[in-house]
Amino acid sequence: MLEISDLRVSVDGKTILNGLNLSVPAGEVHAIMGPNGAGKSTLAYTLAGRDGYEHLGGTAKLLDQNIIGLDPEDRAMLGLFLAFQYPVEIPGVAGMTFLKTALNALRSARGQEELSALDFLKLVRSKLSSLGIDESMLKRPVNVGFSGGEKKRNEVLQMAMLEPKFCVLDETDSGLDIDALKVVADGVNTLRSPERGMLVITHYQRLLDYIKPDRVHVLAAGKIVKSGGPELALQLEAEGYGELLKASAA
Amino acid sequence: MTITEAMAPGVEAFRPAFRQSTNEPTWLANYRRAGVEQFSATGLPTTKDEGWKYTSLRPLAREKYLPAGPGEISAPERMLEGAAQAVFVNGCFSHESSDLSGLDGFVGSFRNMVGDNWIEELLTSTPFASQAMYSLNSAAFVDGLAVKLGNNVQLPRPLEIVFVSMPGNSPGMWHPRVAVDLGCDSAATIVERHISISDGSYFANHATDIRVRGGGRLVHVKVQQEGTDGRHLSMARVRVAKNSLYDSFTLTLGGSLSRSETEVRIEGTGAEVRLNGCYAISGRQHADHTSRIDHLAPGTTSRQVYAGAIDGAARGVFQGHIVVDKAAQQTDGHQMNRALLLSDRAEIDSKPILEIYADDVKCSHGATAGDIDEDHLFYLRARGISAAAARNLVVRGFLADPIENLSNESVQAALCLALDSHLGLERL
Repeated sequence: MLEISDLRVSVDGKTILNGLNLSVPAGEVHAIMGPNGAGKSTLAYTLAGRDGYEHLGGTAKLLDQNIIGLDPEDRAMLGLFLAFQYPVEIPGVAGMTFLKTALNALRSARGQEELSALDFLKLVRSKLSSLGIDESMLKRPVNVGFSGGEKKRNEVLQMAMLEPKFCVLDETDSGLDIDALKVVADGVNTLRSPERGMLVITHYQRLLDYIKPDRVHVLAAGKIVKSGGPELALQLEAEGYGELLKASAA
Repeated sequence: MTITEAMAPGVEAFRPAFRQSTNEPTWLANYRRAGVEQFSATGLPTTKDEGWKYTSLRPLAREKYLPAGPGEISAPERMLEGAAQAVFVNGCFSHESSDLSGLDGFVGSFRNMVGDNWIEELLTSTPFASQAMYSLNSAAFVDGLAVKLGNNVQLPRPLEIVFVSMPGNSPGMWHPRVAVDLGCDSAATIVERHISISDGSYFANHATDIRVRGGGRLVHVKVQQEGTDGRHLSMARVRVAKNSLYDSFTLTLGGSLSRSETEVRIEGTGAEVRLNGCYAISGRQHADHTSRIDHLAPGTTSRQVYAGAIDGAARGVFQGHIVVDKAAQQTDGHQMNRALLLSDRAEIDSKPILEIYADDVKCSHGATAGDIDEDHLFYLRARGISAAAARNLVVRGFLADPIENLSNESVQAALCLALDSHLGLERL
């Protein structure tokens, strides 16, 4: 579903992704782990299409279409969703307005009719209650004054509402205490489906106790240096990145 | 009426506006004479005057405005559901278009109520320093609105004061006066609207005198949607007493040249003043928001947040002057001016002044100016919202942010609607 091959990207003239290859089939959840500076967030932002990431070569295909070079909104319309490590606060834009605008933009792109205000409200209420989020959160401006947990729950709510084909979760566990982490992980787990792929980017193994990956990849110096099953995450947790990186360099 | 002193340059052009009426009370004749003398001595302010450094009135001096007469229109659509409306056309009160039912004894045309003692007191025993454009209004006003609430009264309906511009073939001018006296523990919501229903050049020079007495609560909103060739100046002078609230908001969208100036004297302990506003200007529009707040009693609060979106070659001006008197210990004053510059030619001039004579105060100001935050746009676009729609949402959000500071939710909603329709957004 997501096929990345030989992806090379630089930021401010410095090469960060250096020939990255990765394949995530539909229905699977893959985790990318790596030390600080390995290129984890660069990968997330590159996939989502943020400015400032210069493409040096390679491709990233979502459902056989290369998304590199597309506008961020066009990637979203193809079904990509990035859950941000640091969700952005947008003063004055109510969460409800934002969600409705986004959902209707995606629906039009899919050739579906825009939802009426009533149908939208019904849909959003059902998602809110399954995620245990109070409706008042959506009356407030997007992410403004939210706690870390609220911000991440808001990301998962958007994911549930927009029903993407492929989700990239960038350090979703950062800033969360264990209770908030469980809630967010539960939300993500309910979105697992045979038609949907997920890429979970994380520094710590902790998140993977709650979102069980099918495969684990280790990212270092801009490329995948090791891949394995869920046990690889446990090994990393026990031994740290240092041992593994030494071994793979040898 | 004779003018003994030599007139300053530019005064002659406004002489036709000086009101010469024989059947006005003596105090008013004297008041007008003082206005004529003050305006004649200074003439139009120039950019050499400290308070007018960034706003030039030269376009006013060039145009030959003549006092405009009344016109007939159908009642304007209401901004607030259930609101009463006082409608003025070219500065003249229109009985036919107005609906003041339920407000008998509280609201009337200035001309009809000018014999009342409270108006004399409000206008003549003023602690405010004279100011040229206000003086011109004193010399020239024909009509306006008077609102008087005794103690412990709630104005039964919100009141819209709608100033409709309907200039004719030649440039017209008018100088309406509004007077509001809110008794102790009384409350009112007043929305001033300035709209234009035909093209043409005009100059509206408003003056407003307001008193909020002890424990009173006044929500005072101004929505300025003057025509493209309209020039709008306004001066509001507000006195607030102990434990009262003056909660104001200015939404500036129209006019080629506009200035909304507010002077507030916080005279009683525990009083709170909120001067908030937002503006969206483009083309060659010039919008000036100027305020002076005097904290004169201990334990008083003032809050100002202004947000502006400036596009094209438009220019925004924000001048905020806070004075904390020696007696005004425990003053809490905060001022913030934020501007989004949406083009390379857009300009904002921001001049905060804090003048503090007490030693135990919390006072701060801040100003920001910049382009739209790319991170905001990226976040929205990453959810499938087009670049253009994302930009609209962010600008709209930026401008709507200070609206939340208003204490009246139905007015908040009406302001958002006015803003959205101006920005061309559908109702969200």
